[in-house]
Amino acid sequence: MIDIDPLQLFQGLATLAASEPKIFYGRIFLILLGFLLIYLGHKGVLEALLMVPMGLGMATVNAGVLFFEGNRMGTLFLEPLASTTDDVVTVLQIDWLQPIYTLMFSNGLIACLVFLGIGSLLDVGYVMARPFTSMFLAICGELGTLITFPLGVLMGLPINEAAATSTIGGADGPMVLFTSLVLARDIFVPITVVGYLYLGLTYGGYPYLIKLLVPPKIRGMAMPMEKTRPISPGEKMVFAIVACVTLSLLFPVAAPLFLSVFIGVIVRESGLTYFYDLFSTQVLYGATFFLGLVLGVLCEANTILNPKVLILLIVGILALIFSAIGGLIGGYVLYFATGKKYNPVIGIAAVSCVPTTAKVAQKEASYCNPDAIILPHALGANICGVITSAIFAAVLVTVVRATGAG
Amino acid sequence: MPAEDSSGKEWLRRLKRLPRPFYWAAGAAIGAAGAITARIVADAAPEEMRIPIWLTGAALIFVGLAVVSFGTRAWLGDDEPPPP
Repeated sequence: MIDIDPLQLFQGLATLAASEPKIFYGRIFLILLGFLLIYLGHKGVLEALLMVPMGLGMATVNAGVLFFEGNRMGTLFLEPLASTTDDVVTVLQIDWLQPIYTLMFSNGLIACLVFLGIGSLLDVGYVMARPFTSMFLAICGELGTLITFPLGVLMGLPINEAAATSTIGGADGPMVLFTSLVLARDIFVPITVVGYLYLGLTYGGYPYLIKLLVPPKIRGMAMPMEKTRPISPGEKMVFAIVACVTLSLLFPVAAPLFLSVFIGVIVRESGLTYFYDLFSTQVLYGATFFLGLVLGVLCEANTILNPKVLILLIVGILALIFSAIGGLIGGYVLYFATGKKYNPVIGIAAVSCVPTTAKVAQKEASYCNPDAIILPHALGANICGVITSAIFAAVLVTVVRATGAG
Repeated sequence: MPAEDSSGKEWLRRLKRLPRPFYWAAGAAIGAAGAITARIVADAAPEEMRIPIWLTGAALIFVGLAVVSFGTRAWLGDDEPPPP
């Protein structure tokens, strides 16, 4: 009779048994966390489009570890640490998600594709109708990025990792991915996962912050009626072209992001319906799916169990809280500057996270006063927040590179 | 002061009569000037001064974009007459 070791037959279990305690518990924890993400995504607590593929990827990659030659443990998903050309070419022929990772992640293409899709959904007319208030609020909504960058350094992170983590304050997932890939490639997985998990929580957490900082009477304040005239697609295209070119002139490191978002805007406004349909559906949702799946698969215990994760968790949540407070402070400044005619809740929409925070602002205002319509103002701040977070990401990348740390 | 008010209004009326492409060109020029100046100044400045310089350049780009935004029907109110 053949002597079969059941553990060798079921290598997922064998590798679990052979792991050191930290990895053993880490894998179990990450499998359970994957289940939790799928559940919370399915229930609508977190963003389902991202969390369902991410959760399943996370659970599966931690279950599907097997032995390779020399008793080395690994998976057939992807190898993020392959660095030499020979290693990458070898792994490309074995690991099924390696082509997506090598050709779309490590060069930031996936972030640009998501931005292309987001750009095609942005109506810059909301910014153009009220440019100064939108831009002022968007700058205030970056308070978290400004505060947590030095805070991260004080907490022991190297300057490049602190800068990459502080971009969570901009509340833009693709931006966090892009910046961490450029600045802190070694820990881009935990930074991006922490960023996306927290961004999912903004929908649940920000309403409490609004309730805490804005009294109901002010929260439900209706905005004065605006005399609105339509802004033509040509006018919006001029705005997008000027914004794209001038921002790229000042911040060439973020030029791929600027081009992606503004080409989306231009496609939307130029009436190229086939391109618009392609970018706003297939490109955006295709990129989002692979972003979630690959991020989940990258959460293998060996990669994600990094002692810095705790610091990233603290810096990340502080960045988002400070940004929200900054946005609301900006809202209050406009409230007093306009003789109490501006609803300060709009400020929270400046923390970009398109269009979640704009919807949160409108929902909170409507809860106190069903007649309070603040969504057009909130969308202006929201869309400007995307542009501003790209600017702050570019500033951080340029600063860190100038110091030689990036 | 009514005299100043009326001259201010007149100035605003004249400004509103300028063609839209003027606003677009002016906005683009302000933004590009801000971007180029900030880059040149930042390159020559010490490291600790670069962040404020870049942010000032970004603020000038925002001012340029605001000027571009003013060259719209939403601000100028020059709705074209309906087609015959």
